[in-house]
Amino acid sequence: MFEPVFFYLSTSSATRRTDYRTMFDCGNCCQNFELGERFNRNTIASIVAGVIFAIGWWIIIDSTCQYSTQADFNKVYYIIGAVGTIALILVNSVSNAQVRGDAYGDSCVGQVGARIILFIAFLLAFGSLIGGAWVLFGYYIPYKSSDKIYPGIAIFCQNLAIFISTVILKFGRKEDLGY
Amino acid sequence: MGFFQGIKGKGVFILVNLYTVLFLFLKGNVVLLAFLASIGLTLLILGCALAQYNWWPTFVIIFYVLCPIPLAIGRRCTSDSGYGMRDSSPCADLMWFITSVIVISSFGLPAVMCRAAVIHAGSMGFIMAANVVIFTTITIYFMTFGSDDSLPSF
Repeated sequence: MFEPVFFYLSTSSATRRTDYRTMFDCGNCCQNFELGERFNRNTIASIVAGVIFAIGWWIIIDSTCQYSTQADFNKVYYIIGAVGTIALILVNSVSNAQVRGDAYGDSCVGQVGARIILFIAFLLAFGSLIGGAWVLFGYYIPYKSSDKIYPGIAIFCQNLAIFISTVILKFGRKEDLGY
Repeated sequence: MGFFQGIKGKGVFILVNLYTVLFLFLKGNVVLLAFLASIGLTLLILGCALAQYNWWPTFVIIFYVLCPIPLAIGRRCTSDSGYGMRDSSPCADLMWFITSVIVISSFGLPAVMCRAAVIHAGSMGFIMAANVVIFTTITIYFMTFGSDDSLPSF
């Protein structure tokens, strides 16, 4: 009677998600697998993340087109968005299997390397988010008049969008464990 | 229609129904595809050539050309993955990511140009409509012609 509870507690969350999925498939996974693949969760997560990422960058392009002087929009604030983009690439370049240590084959970074990369990548991601908020609330809101505040809002929204895109791309995708 | 069994959620069922109907209707219909593409390009040209409009919006053609490339690469990725039935490799996910970035960019470019007062709002409306039509055409192409197997797949 207690086996399901022990199984639930002892397995990691990734396998639990996989078991939940096979539990739902009613045993015959071949028949609805072709359909489930077409709209599968990985594809939808990638598409949504791409949409949000593109919206973020086009917000900053829009703001640059309208306020192009250095006094209104200091060009150095592009760095925040660039670091956020690098963080997105880094976060999604290590898979969960590598971090857990049971990746097949011999990759050039081991488990420790994968964890270091993930750590630094999340540092950069959160850093860019905080930087965007800092620029808005520390510079644009106190020191700018209300009609020149749009570049600050754009910087904040851009980094927020890139961060949300990173999170969706990292945690919205599920890698199967070769069942 | 054995592959309709076991679908989770009504929304997916309705969407899949629509796509299947569309696929059956457009099966092998190259003429309709060409017609849609020409309508899209006509809307694009109209958006540039009417009175008081200028030719800046033709730059969205770059995004039209770039859009099928990641999808084609993604298709090559998944067929060569030797994982059997698993279709959602990280390569395919990356290609979907890049494709959606390109599609949103083609909508963002006229919007940014309109807000920066480079083009008029009417021109932006034409270009957005042209985008919708041309991306529908590309989608239908990839659904009906792009795959080798009998079932439609992205």
